[in-house]
Amino acid sequence: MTPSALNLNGESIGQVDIRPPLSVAPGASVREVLRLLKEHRRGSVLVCRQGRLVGILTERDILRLLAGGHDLDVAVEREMVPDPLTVGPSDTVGAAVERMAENGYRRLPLVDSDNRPIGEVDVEGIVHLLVQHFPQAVYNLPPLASPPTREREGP
Amino acid sequence: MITCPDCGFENIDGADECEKCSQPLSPLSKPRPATRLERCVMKDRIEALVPREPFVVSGAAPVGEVLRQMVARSIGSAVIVENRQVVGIFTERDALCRLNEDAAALADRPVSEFMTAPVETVGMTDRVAFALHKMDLGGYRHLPVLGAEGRIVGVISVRDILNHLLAAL
Repeated sequence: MTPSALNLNGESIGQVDIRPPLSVAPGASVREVLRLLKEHRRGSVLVCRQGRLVGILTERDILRLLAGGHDLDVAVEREMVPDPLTVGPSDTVGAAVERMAENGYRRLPLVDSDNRPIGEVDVEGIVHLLVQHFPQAVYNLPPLASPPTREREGP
Repeated sequence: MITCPDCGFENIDGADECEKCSQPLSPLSKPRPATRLERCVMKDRIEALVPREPFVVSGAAPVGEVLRQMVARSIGSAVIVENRQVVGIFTERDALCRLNEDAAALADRPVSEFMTAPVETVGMTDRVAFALHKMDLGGYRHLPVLGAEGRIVGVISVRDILNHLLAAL
């Protein structure tokens, strides 16, 4: 069971657990989105017009709406982040991670060349990939102890 | 083959002790990091991530006020502390799942009614791998970091770990 070397820039995005897309129409109310997210236990919804991605509404946006006591019956179109950053099926895991890190995002919609959502890549999926790649490091964590010598001492 | 570090006898793989001199060999099977990334996960401790200052509230704080503070500070979690001990955590996910569309009506209720408790925590000297495992297993994105006597000293998020690993690549 030798751990394979993880090369994030070589791994295709398909190596990460992709969540199925959860989408709504631009005219749906924020209230409907909240119910949908709770029901599916998800943190974001993709807003699509005729099947094409036009925006995203995430937990962070929702936190702001809830804290500010905003009207929840407005269309999601007015509160969403328009034209979100995405990844494509041919992108690598490294590219997705970099895009997340640079912009402070925890999730990226995965879209095809027509901008139709295929799924969503999130930071939990990346962590799971890391954990799976380092089973020895993560699951067999040694206790704190001074290691014995590996080589024979003396001449 | 495992070569006994004491007598040099060649033992079969997986032997617990040297067949010749009975010296314990099991510590030699300790996993060793193969790549830089793996080394980073196995060797680095939580303190290397420089945990962020926690946003600490008492359990009686009104949840509406906690929400406003989280937005104002641009953070995803509040740590609930009673008698200097961490009793729970309130995150964006709790806001979404437990307050949802009723947030305005529930704003004056204490945050302790909506927090996640008990909460998984890590220590400053735990390995990054330990935190990674807890996060993956529980699906958590935030872990409070405890110092001496169980006092809260910081919070780490899954993004802190990811950024740390990226920096090591």
